[in-house]
Amino acid sequence: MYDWPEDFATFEEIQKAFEQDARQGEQYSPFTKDQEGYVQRAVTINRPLAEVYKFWRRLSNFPLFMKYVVSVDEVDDKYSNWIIKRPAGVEVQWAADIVEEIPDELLSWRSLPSGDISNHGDARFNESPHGTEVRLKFRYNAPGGKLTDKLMHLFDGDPAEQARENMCRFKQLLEAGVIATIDGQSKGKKL
Amino acid sequence: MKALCYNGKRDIRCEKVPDPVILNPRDAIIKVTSTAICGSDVHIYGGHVQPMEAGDILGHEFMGHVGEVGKDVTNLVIGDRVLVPFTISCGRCYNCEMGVTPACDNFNPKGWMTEKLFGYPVAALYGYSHLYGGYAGGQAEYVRVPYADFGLLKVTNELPDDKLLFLTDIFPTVYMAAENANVKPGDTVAVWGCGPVGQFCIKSAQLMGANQIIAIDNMPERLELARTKAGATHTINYQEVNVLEALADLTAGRGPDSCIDAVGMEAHGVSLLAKYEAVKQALKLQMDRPTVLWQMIRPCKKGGTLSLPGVYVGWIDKFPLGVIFGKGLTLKCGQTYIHKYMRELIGRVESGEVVLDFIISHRLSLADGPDAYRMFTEKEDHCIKVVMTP
Repeated sequence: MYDWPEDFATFEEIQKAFEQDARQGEQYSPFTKDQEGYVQRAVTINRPLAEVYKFWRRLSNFPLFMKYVVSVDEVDDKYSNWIIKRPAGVEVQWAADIVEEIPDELLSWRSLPSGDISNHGDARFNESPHGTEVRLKFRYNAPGGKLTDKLMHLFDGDPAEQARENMCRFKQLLEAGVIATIDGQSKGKKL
Repeated sequence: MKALCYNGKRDIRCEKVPDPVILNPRDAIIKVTSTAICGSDVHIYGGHVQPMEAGDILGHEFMGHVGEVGKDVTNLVIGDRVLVPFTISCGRCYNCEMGVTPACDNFNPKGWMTEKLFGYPVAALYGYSHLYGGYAGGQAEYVRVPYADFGLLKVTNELPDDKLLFLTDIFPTVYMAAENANVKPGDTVAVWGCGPVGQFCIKSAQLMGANQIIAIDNMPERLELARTKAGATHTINYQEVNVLEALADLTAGRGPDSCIDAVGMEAHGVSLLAKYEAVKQALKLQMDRPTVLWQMIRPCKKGGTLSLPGVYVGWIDKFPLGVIFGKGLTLKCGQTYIHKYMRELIGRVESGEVVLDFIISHRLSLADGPDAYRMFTEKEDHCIKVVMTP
């Protein structure tokens, strides 16, 4: 995108160096100690805490903002069935169990052993002067082999990136009421 | 409909493309009545702004009538005459509520591209590459406008398009740049570059009560325009006189209080503003001080302000930060809070206090678009600003 002088560090290298410095200082402590293997993403949403939590707690809302989630069937207060499918792609399912719930503060879940992907995580909510802060942290284990390949495809190759995107979409939906898109807009013919 | 589409470097075509449709409930479709070529479009024309795809529709300075609205757009009706701000902002995130609409969190569907580079996603713009959202632009008969209920400014006067069109980008952009320059009554302001941006910078400085406004360029007709129409009190042709000496003399050794770079530096910078061939000539002239920005830093008074409506996106080498530190200069830049300034400034246009159409040199049709881009880029026929009607 931009031409870097050849003898220059790359943008990523500079960023890495900064991150290294931050770690050496040991001032910043991540919101969870057990970072290894977890995907994390936080956003600030300019809506009241109760509204944000309520929308998240209604798990059947997830297909509205989470890419490829086809349906979330809330069996009862604790259990839900998740179906995820890419257009013309593999379909995966799991059942999830809510492990802990503190309204307006914390919702944690884990998948049941019967599912295609084992996963667990939590979302934490708190108020700040600039809106409601939401911190998502989760971990998943694919069974390996062919299904893993299919899974990575399902996550566009990078579950962490997709989590970022999904959290942005969650924010857009709650704040702007719509998710920004250019899909289907007019353009000239491709050469 | 007809639209001007990017097809590669120096290859812009007027093509027949599908009409836009409503994609979100907050969208509107605008029937364009006037659309300008911005200086920053020239960078796209030159292939410097990427990533672009063949067929991308260009243009971000346009106005028209509401042709269709999504179901959540309740404050507009079909037929309303509207101005379209050039950034796409949701109006409901924290930054938008603070008026900092170019920092909207929710408007760039390809935000991850800029997030990688800048740390956070930045502005989406109409017709300005996929880095900036990939939205179709306004050099077309119809345009889809997202967040129409927030962004569009309804026009209730009878003024012709020519007098209003530049409220969608260039005039607010430049006015904010003059505010960024901290222009106060009685001050001396020096403006580098006398393209459309420079002309309006001069105008804005005049509105803010500047005592001396010094215009710097090398094209006699642009300096003439600055003196006779925009309000410059002095002009400097940098090919004829030494700019530093001239500024020192005009300010009796103090230096200008504010220096405005209406030029920009990097040819590949994503500029919202005009940037012209004259700039390149200036850069060539100043081989040992390779930028306009660098040239502003020395003459600026101690404790003065540098403002950059010319846009910088890339990296600069050998930037004299130590001089800025030593003299205690303030440097301000950034994209325009267009939604705020457009609404603040329309009254001045309606009252006749500000006249904006003096910079228009060519009125053409959309079908003439490919020629218009060439003329504007090459400055054929003294081309300074092109307005097209679909």
